[in-house]
Amino acid sequence: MESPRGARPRTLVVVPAFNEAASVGRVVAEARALPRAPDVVVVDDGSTDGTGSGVDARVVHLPFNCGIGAAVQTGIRLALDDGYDLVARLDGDGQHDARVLPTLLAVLESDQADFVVGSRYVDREGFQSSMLRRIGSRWFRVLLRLACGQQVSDPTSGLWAANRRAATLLAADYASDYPEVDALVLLARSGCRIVEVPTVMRERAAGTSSINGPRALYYMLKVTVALGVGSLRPRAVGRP
Amino acid sequence: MPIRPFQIFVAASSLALTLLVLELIRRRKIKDELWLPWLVVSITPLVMSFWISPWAGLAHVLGIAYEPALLLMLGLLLCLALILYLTVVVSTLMRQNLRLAQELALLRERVESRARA
Repeated sequence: MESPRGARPRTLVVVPAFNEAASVGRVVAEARALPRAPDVVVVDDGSTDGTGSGVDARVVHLPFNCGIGAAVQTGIRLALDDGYDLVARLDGDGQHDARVLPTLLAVLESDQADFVVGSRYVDREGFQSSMLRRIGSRWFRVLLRLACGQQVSDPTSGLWAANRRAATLLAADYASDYPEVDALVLLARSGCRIVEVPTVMRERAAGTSSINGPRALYYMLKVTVALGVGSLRPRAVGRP
Repeated sequence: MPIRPFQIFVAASSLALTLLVLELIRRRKIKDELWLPWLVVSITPLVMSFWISPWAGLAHVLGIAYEPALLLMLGLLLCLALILYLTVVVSTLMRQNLRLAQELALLRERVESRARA
């Protein structure tokens, strides 16, 4: 795949971050150190700890905390507005290893997919998250297959890359919180080709996860309902 | 049929609420899209309190022994409908607010990067 200008595709890496000052700089540095150093934008989701200051990247400050989905969507909109061909997401907590990005992007560049997900559960290496989360992930996997026939082993993975077609769909419709599974339903039902690439994830570098206790229950309920309702919505774009 | 005390109470409450809604509309405290459901909610009990026979008949059909209970139930359903409508309105506002926040953040980034260049 080449960009419309005939050059290599331009890529923007979106790093959503909420109070991740301790780790976001390292995430940006890892992304910038990749071959063909992609452009990086940190989307600061209303942090109060100075997240984004002093990093070697563009920084977009949301005026208040809007949710991780809204932060990612802001980055996607920036990518589309500025004519990027590919968009990738790396979380600001340092869980995603930026070195896997070239593999994800290569799948898009060879036009084998519209959306590539980095999956922890293909090779089962690295940080595998808690038992409860793995059960949740398995539940979403079954629901996803029932809702749209899409096989994804790690539907809650936040490590992904998208071409302009998939990015355009996500820019128009992306849940503010816990958006990953919803997004897969939207893309699958819109005829986008979704491919998984094995990846190794790390434990978060600093801070605490927002998904714990009652929030985990809300996450399961919210995504389950959204998945059921999402599969009843009219398709956004027909199969190409 | 003589007017019963509960009819007077419902009618008076309904009338007071209707007048309050009209005053709020007059002062432009309620947006155009929102005054209609409030007028429906405030006027309906007024009409129902004096137009008893159809509701009493309906209560018997539904097996409700105490007829005013049907009035109460319908009032509750109207309130639920209004809350649901307001939830839709709030959801729309939240979506628009989010979009504005995103646009503001993107514009601010562009302005600041131009200022630095």
